[in-house]
Amino acid sequence: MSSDSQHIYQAQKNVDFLESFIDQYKFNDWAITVAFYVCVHIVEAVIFLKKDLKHQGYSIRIENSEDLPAVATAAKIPPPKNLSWTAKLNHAFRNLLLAENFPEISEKYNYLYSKSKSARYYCYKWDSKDVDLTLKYSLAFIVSWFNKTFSNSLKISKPILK
Amino acid sequence: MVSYVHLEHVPYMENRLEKYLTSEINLFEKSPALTHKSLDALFDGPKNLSGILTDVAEEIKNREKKAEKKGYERAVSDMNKAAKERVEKYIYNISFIVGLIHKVALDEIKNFKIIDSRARFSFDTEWIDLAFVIDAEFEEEILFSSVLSRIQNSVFSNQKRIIEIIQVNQKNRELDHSVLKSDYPFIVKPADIKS
Repeated sequence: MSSDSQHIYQAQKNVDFLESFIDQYKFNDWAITVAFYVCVHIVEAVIFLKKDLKHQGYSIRIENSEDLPAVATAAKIPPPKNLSWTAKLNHAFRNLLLAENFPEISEKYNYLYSKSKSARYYCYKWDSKDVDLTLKYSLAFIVSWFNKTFSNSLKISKPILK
Repeated sequence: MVSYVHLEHVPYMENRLEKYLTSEINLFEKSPALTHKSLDALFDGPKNLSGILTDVAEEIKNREKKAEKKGYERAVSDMNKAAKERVEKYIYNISFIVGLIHKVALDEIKNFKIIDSRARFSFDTEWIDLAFVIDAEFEEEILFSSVLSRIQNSVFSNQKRIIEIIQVNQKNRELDHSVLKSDYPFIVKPADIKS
C-alpha cells in the first residue's frame, strides 16, 4: 500500500523518464505506455488524498483502488453483476472509482488506457504527430488538473508534454 | 361361480353396506396395531408377510432409482436450458451494446467508420470485453473514445455491469491483426437499435 507521496514520486519519476526520450520519437509506443503509468500513479495519489469516495452511490473510505473489494465487501455493497469482489482486476476497480469520483479526467484517462493497451499489444508503429496529440490531450491535461486541484507541483518541462 | 348382484336391485343389501360405510368402522384410518405374527396369521398364500414386505421394499427401490434417474435427467435438462438462455442473453446483450455504440458513434461523428467490432466472450463471468478497430483522424478518435466512455458509464449505472472497451485506430499504422484476433476472437454484428 502506497501513500500519496509515494505515488507522486513514482509519477514524477515516470514523467522524467518519458522526457528523457520523447523528443527522439524512437520509442513512441513506450511513450504512450509510460504516459499511462504516470496517470495511474496520479489517480492512485488522488484516491489517497481524497479518501472519502463514492461507489455505486455508497460512501466509502479507501486509500488505494485495490482496497475497494475489501471495503465494499465489509460495507455489504453488492459487486457489479459480472465481477466478483475476489477478482484481481485492479484496472477495473480503478476505472470504476475514477468514473464516479473524478469524471473530469475519466474520459481522458480511459482514452490513454485504451491507447496504451493498443501500444503494448496491437500497434507497434506510432506516428510522432499522433503521440504528441495523444499526450497533450490526456497526460498534459491530467497533470495540469492534478496540480491545480490538489495544489501539487508535478513538473513537466518539455514543451511537447505541456 | 361368481354372481354379480346389482345393488339397486337388492335394496336391503344397499342399506347394510351404507350402514357399514357410514358407521364408525373405517378400516383404512383406524386399523388396529397388530403384531407381525398376528398379521401373518390373517392370510395364507404364495407369500407370507415378510415376503410381501420384501417385494414392497424392492418396488420402492425400483421407484427410487427411476425417480433418481428422472430427477437427474430433469436437473441436467434444466441446467442445459438455463445455460442456453444465459448464453443467448449474454450474446444478445453484447450485440445490443455494440449496436448502441455503432448508432451513437455514427449519429455523432461525421464520416466515421467502424472497421471491426470484436469481442472476447466469458460465459462464466459474463464479462464484456470489446475492441473496436477504427480508421479515424485524431479528432474523430477522441469523439469515439468519449462515446465509449459514456456508454460504459451508462451500462454500469443502469445495469451494474462493467464493460471493458478499447479502440484500436488503424489510421497510418500497422496493426498486429493476429494478436488482435487471438485476444478478441469474435466479430460481433451490431443489433439493430431503434431510435
